[in-house]
Amino acid sequence: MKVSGIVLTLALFSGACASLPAKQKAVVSLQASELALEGAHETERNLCSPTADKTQPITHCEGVTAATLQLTDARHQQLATLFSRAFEAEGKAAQALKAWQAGEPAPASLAEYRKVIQDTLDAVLAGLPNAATLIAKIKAAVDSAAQTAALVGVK
Amino acid sequence: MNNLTLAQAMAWVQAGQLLVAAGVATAKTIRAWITGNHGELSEAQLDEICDLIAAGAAAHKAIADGDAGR
Repeated sequence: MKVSGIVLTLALFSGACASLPAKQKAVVSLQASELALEGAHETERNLCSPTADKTQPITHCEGVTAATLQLTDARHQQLATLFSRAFEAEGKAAQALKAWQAGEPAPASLAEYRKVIQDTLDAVLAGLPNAATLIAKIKAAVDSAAQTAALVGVK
Repeated sequence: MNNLTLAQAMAWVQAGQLLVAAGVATAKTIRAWITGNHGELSEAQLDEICDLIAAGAAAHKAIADGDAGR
């Protein structure tokens, strides 16, 4: 994920340029949201099972950290469902943003993506309030998604 | 991309092929970005980035679906 980090860093710095077109800023912030959400997803899987083969489905949480955080099998499954919804919504948002041009109505899928990852954040805050790193990464994804939505005019 | 299986998604992520693919696409984008003094990207470059976002999202969705027992 180091390459993604470099891309993200460049994207964030470049996204700060006030003179860039709204669409470019929106694409850059959606990319930042995507990378933060990917990081959150990987963090949650590691918290659930640091030793599991990550190439296989993880259906059982084990280890001291999962126990301390009360990250149970059921909660992991619930979060996996939410992550799935969030990534699906994000894919649709990316395709909609690709087709979008400045001045056009805001794509509904961007508002949907913002809502779905907010739901994910709310679930983590309620169920895993001490998972600070995970919460920080999802918050970053939410913030970037809100920025994207604002740039395309989502109310 | 939405029809990726878990195995395909994990292969991409684990082998870094997604990042390699991203690198291929973004190398041009980033280079143009830097050499252009963080200037404006072309519509084609923005399209590349949107496709990469969608590809990354599809790969992670497949992984999440596996964990959710789907």
